Amino acid sequence: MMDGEPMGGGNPESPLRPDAPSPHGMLRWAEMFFWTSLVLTPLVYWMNGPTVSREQTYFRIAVVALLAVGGLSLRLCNYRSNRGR
Amino acid sequence: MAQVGLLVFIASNTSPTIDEPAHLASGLSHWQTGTISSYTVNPPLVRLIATAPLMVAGRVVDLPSSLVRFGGRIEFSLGDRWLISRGSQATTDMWIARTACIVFALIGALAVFSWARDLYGRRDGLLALALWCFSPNVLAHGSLMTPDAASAAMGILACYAFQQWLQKPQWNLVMASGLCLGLALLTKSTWILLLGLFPVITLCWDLVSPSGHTAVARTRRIAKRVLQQLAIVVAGLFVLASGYGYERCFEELGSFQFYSSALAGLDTEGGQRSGNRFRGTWLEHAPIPLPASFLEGIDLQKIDFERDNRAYLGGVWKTGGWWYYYLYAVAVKVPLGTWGLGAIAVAVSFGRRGLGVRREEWVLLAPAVVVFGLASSQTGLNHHMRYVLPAFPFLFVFAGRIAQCVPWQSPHVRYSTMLLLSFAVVSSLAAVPHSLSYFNEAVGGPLRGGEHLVDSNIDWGQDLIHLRNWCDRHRDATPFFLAYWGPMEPGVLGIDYRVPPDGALVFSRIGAVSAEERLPKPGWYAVSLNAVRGHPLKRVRMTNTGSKSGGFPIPDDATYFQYLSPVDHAGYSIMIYHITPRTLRELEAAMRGGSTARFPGGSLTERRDQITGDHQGLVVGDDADIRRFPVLPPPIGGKSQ
Repeated sequence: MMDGEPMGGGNPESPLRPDAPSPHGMLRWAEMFFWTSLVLTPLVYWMNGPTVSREQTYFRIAVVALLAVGGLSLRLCNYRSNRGR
Repeated sequence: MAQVGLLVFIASNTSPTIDEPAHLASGLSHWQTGTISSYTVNPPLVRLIATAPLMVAGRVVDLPSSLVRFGGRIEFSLGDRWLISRGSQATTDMWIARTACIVFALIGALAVFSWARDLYGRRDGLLALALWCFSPNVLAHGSLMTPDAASAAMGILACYAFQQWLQKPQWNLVMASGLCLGLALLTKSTWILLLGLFPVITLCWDLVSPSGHTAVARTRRIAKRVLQQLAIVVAGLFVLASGYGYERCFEELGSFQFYSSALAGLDTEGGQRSGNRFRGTWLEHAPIPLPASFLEGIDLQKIDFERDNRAYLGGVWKTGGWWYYYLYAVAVKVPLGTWGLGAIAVAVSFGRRGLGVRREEWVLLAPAVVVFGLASSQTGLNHHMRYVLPAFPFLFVFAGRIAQCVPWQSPHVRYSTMLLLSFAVVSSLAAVPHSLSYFNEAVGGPLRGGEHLVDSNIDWGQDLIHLRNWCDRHRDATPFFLAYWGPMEPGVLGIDYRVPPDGALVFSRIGAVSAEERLPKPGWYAVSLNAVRGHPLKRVRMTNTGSKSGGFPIPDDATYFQYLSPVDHAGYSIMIYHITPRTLRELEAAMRGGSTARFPGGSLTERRDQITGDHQGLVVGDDADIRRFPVLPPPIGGKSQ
């Protein structure tokens, strides 16, 4: 999924760095963010201790669900995009 | 979109905090009366925008002919009256007002992204944007109708517009910069520092700009710069005056009645309470190009900083505060992931093989450094980390340079960066909707935040809604006692409670009073963290509003709860204790084993002195020594934190 291929596209207008990411690269970044966050979530929840309200409990569960759904959706998008290339 | 959703969610799960009723009631009074005089410490823009929907809906605030002044300020009395008059509807009105303020968070997001993108590229812009949108401190204060997040947003917008003008000195950018400067001034008077900082930055910018022009061309360029810089300041002041309805502008400096030592030139221990240090000097007749209320607000705010209030840091109460208070507060209240990204950004900038910092980045860093320096120099009121929140967006943009500096093709670098960003975001989300109480994992998270900071850093009275929900789920929790540190009367939300016994009784000499009379009765106790830690504000508010229904139903001393361990929480700021006969026996044994010298905050007599040492509405500590909280005996009963 995350090979050594640069994610950036080309943006000569950027004053310091000429490899601003392409839309495809952005999607891959987003996917990486979702999976990394999903993996970290149980650890961070454990470090922060138990929830202190029902709203917080529901929200923590929702975050996990959103990260999983988002990661899967982006995986699908990127898979299709790679096949189309 | 994600940030808007989070802010709305947090706003709907937060009860009115200490300052909000004052802001809301004053905002309504501004619309009703057309004047700003009811709340001068902060400029009116946030209040006006927050209360605009309420004004349209026909809400009014009862304006009495006279109000009790709280340290020279009437807004808190006005806020208490509004809370009482609105009853349970206050939470709905507050939610509407908070929602209207979300626009400021969005403006901040736009400015942070735009500046980082201009400096480093789009990917870096997104990194900075994520740091802004998911920062727990931005989420916490962006969901309230207080000016802190708004001032951060408008401050970076003003500096971004100014930086655009520095790069392209065109007249349309002069106007844009002046407008944004004025709007920033209208959110918080802290940004008055920009009136001095902008010319200094312009001077430095032109000094290091590449030469090569002829002398005539250079002179012409500098003249144009000076003229445009002047125009920016004038435009900013014009916008500021517009926000105040051009109320009392250009009054002579000698005509003001000041109260702070800095402006009044008085020794506060002298008999006089007001004055003007400029009378009789050559500045006496100088017209001040600021609205009079703006200057009077700075004067009132300055009083707070001059009073040497008691401050709490790392389990220590001290009169006068610490110069490193904000550094400490930021260290424990900023996610570790954000710290990691910032550390890498600094390392790649200043390391041995660092890229250095360009002049565009100095423009970015200068306001943050000045805000931090200014706040840290005012040690008289070390209560709120939010005072340095305006520096945050600048640092988020700077942290974005990491993506520009590191060897991005390396998968290790990509993974590390993404890991830190994910850590920052997930850590922040783990605290939602209690973002106001956020503390990072290095200090044990929000559950242990009270060991480091109190007041608006963790407990601003925001969890009363969660306490009501807790009571609804635990109807058998009787008898129920409550010590709530907040502005709202808990009974308004249907909470039936009694106030716990005062610490003066609990800690009275063992043997003089029987344990049955002295110790708390068996039952359920909900106690605000500030009350447990011995925050002195409660007595002040009760005294000055003259009404218990204005909130703060707390015994004078509830710090004896530090001997116990909570069995549950309502949010991170209210702890629930279950005291059983067995717990009481153990508490009695623990107190017999320890003298009052082990009592948090010193002996009981000293503690009373602290509480009763209030002066004209504000607590003035009578000792300058540092009292460290003792190591308490092991908590009794319940589960450990």
